[in-house]
Amino acid sequence: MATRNAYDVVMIGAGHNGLVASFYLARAGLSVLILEAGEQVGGACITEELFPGYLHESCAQSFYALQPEILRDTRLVERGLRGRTGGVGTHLYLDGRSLTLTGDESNDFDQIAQFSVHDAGNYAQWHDFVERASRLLQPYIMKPPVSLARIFADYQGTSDEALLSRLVTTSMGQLMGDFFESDEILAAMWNPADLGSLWETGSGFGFALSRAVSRREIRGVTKPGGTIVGGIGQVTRLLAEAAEEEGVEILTASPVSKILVESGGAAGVELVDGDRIAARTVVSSADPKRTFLNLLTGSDLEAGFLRRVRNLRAKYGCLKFLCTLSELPVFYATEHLDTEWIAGGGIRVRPSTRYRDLAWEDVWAGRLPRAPMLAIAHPSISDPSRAPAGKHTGSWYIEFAPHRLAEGTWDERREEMADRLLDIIDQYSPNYRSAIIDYKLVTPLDLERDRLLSDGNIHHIDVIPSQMLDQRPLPELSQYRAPIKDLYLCGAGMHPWGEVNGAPGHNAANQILRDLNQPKLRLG
Amino acid sequence: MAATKTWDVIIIGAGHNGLVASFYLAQAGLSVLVLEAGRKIGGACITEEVFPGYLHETCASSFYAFQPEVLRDTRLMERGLTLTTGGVGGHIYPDGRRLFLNGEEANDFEQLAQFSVKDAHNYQDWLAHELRISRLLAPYVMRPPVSLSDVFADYRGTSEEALLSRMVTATIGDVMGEFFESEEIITALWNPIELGSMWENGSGLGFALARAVTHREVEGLTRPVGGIVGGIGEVTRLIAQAAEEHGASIRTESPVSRILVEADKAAGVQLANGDQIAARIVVSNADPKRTFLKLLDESDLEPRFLRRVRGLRALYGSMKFICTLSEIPVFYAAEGLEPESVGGVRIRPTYEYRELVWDAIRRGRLPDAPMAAVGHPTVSDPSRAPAGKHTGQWFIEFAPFHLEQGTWEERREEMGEILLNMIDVYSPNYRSAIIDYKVITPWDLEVEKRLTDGNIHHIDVVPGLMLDQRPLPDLSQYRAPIRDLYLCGAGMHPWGEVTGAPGHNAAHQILRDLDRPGR
Repeated sequence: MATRNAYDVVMIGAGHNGLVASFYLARAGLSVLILEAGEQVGGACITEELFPGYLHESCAQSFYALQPEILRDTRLVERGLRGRTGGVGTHLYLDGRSLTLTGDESNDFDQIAQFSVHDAGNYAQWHDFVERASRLLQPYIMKPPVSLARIFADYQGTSDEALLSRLVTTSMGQLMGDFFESDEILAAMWNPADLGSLWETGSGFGFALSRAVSRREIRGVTKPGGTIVGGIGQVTRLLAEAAEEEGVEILTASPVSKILVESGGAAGVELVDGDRIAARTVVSSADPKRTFLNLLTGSDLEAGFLRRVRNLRAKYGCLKFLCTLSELPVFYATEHLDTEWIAGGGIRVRPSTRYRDLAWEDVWAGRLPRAPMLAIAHPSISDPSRAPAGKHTGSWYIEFAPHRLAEGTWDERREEMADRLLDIIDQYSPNYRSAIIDYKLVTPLDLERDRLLSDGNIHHIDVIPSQMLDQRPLPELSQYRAPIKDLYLCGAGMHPWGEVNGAPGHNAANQILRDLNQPKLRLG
Repeated sequence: MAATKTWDVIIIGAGHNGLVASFYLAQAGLSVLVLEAGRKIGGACITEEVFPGYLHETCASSFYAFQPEVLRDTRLMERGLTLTTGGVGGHIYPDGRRLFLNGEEANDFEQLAQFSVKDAHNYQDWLAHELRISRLLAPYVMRPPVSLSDVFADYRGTSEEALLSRMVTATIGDVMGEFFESEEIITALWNPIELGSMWENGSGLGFALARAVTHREVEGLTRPVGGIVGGIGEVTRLIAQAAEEHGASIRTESPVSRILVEADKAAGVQLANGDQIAARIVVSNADPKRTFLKLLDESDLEPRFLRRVRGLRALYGSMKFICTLSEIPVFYAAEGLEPESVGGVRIRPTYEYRELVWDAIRRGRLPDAPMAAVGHPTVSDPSRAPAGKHTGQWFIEFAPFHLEQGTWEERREEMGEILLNMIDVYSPNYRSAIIDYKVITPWDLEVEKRLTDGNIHHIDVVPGLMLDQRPLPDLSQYRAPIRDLYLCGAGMHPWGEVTGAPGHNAAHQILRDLDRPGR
């Protein structure tokens, strides 16, 4: 058994949050070692060559939430991060209609008026409402979480007081009902992906939080938009570069088997190969369940605490369908429009609120989704480097899917699910199926095994009001500190939430530095 | 058209809240006329002879939420309101187990331990926690609603601050999951009807509000809970008596067709027979949708306001099954107990069962797994049936108002059959003991009790429709957007059930607006 030199910090996992935290810790002068189980860095924020000659984003694919301070501090754009926009998003409906919103007022009015003139008239007000809602929680994103009571206190007596009450108590369905009446518009305007929703219609509070994260801006920082050239793995590759420049060491193919605890404090880690590495501080970017139930031994923790960790809600998983395409797909509903423009912007299939309800019912019942909500991207349109000349890639993000099936396993039922997805796309496109050269369906079980995400949950745990702010993941864990001294968490299961935003990594690093009482090294 | 005197106040509807409001307003010296559409007063709080010789509670049947101040002021106990005693009850399961809690520690431990010893150990802690939760919103029940923000401000810096955050953000499943692991116990201790629940697990805030109303204690006052001798209609009969003692007039069979508006203010009402009656103030005990969409002209209100009223969520209706019985039913799960000692049983055995009910609501299907609270009031109140006979009353939570196929009229018997098949699982003799029965559907509640959408709480009790958002922020202070028009029913803060609080709070708001403090 080899024992290396002790590090100030050992970081478990080179996902985006682990890398962000490491960057800040190293910049403050600490020696940091990152241990990554996989062959490359990236975790759930990764580009892979699943089919020779093609690049796919096999887990996260959207770069919209990375916090501007992190973009600035790690100098990602200067390091070469590029985004390209290739079209505009379109919602497809079975009756051949489509909804294509471009941000141009008169276009958007006409598009919505196909479904309801009333709704078209209210769209601008909805926009204002979203903007107001998104600002409420913005001051709370890039710091350790405060309580809801604290936020109420901050807004008391202001014009946003009633809005806060409303968002905290009301479902998205009710909120949107104030603006829209068309079922198609209601289904389109609510993006279930950013809401960790309750059944029914999502929580207004979750909506406010996700919008706060995704819309935060700071002066002087412009986020690359659209498709990331080379795939989202470029983000983690460049974060790793920035971290290494600050002196961080990164070891890939080095799975941690155990966090070592000595006299009540974290003392280092043990690798699967038996190597032990000592550290003053251990930080886990793994999810809370994996951290406490797999990487620690039960005797290190109280039974009541372990029970609470086991009960953390992680109800809904997702699917990804990755394919290579011999030609660009066309869609019945947009035949009159430019194929590249449509396919390049992202296709959404969630045609009705009933469809959405079915997706939820199947999550609860553990059934293969009958009504999977699809967000389909064709990144090779704006980034041709991802496929051989003339060929394309398709990347479908599918919500929602149960983690465990009531009958059979995801491995047994993978092809059945893929067939179901192809049957659905046949209803919307005459050539999608025939254009597919190869495909792979990534199931929640795959996400659990390949990405080490407990329950196959890309947000580590559900983003519901009771698992937000200082209740995320549990009140006693919310300040990024574990109940074992010198052990911290910095992943998506921590405030504010998942998606590629980097805030948990940033906030955890900040907390660690405060605890180390290194005021000179404190972050700017 | 007869023009008569001008009343200070006309109240539309002689349900419990209309009567409570009329009592306080008359007590303060105002001339009050209550107009009731039905042949009897009571509204949804009524006892009726549906089958000759038998008394049934055809809508509300539980007297557990009535506020102690209203009980004191109307002197209901002195007027003869008598609570029944005898008959225990609880939850029964298809496998023959039962969970009969009676508040006696050793019994309750033993009962719970059948399902989980760990849960049995946690039960006393849960009760203490539940009491703590119940105290959070108790100070806000008997007054016009404040905002959630104000509630947070009141608790700032106190030990209850974190509990409040928790209840606002968590589902009741989350909260109970910290104490219990047994599905049977969680389903039993969480009564969905009190919670205007969302799918899944109901809202913590709804739970806190329901518990505030039902557990509220006022020093020196009693809060009786139980069956009422003669049926729950006695409550409204005696409140009416109290109101009349203070000079209120009550007219039955006087359906109001329209609220009269003159110069942007309420001026009286028009009855279905064309009579107009003038009043300085009009108070509607009807639900918000009925008040604004049926009793007022569209031209009296703004289109956007009307749209918001139309959009008020009322997703779940209720149902009742009432029957007459030739003998007392026995239950497989109550083996070893005297049939006459079993007051009522509840059937909601599993999560799956509960979710099936919600599925049915969302789809507009007949609930094939109905959650039922099955009561036999004659066990403790023999006056309700001829000697040797019994009454059965099942409250079915919940049922869709709109059916996807057919109407409730067409499918009433089919629903009756579903319910009888359900009871066959639990009782060997229930079906054969039934002499007569009637299914009271959500449609019947709308038609006969004038409850829009068949919703006994007027509108759902979900967090977005609580406190100063009930029923809408601009209506929450009991004032309509038309001057001198008020609302006082279950659709107002704090919520439905027979609490009397909306009626009390509305009356006091009116008296304050008149600058006339109540007694």
